[in-house]
Amino acid sequence: MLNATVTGAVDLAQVFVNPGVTASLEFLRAWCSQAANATSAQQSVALRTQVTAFPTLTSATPRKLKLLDPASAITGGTAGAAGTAGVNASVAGAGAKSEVIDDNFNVLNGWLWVPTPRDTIIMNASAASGFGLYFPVQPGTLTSWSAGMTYAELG
Amino acid sequence: MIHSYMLQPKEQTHVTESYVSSPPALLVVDERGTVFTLGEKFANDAPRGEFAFNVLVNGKECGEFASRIERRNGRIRIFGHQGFKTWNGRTQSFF
Repeated sequence: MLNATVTGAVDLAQVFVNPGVTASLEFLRAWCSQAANATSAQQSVALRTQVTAFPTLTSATPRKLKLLDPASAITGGTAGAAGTAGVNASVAGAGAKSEVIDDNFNVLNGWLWVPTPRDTIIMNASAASGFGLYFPVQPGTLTSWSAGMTYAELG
Repeated sequence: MIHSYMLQPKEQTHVTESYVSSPPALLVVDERGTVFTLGEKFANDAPRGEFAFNVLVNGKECGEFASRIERRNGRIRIFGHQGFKTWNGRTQSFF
């Protein structure tokens, strides 16, 4: 998502991908930043899995990094269902969330997660579990947030 | 792919404080407003145990690969398989 206004609530997924049945997903990068102002403030961020009841999202179709790649196994969706992706949740969803990576950052600097080779996160196909970038607490400024994740589709 | 955060920000103008490193910071900005970020091309000769990516300056390739970008004592430096290199604003290159 690019310069979006996020919802003022806790535990919302800003980016959410739920693997489908055809391909496992290896997450290689996640990031978020804001461009609303130059006010120093700390913000918590988390990479989590979520099961059963997923967030309500704005549909987002994955973009290719290599233009010759085949069509993604993931399509845009608003319900966080298997095989879909979305951004900027408006409803957290009742499904249990499991922390994978917790961190905090200064909003002036943004946040970038780039794992070392052995630290990449793989969500297997048919996982019945989605993976996302969450704001555990409401940001002080809600406007002009950008966020995203990069993943590879395996086999 | 060039993401919006790799380019000079339109609204947010600040200089990154000393001892900030990317990652985990998304970007590093110097006094001239130059934005340093890690791109998405893998380097084959990364430092052991790390990924290394192309270094983008205002969203453009600068010909360097690094595992991280740091701001130290008013200077921007990158760490790659050859060790640290420091940004020279006049020559617009790392040395």
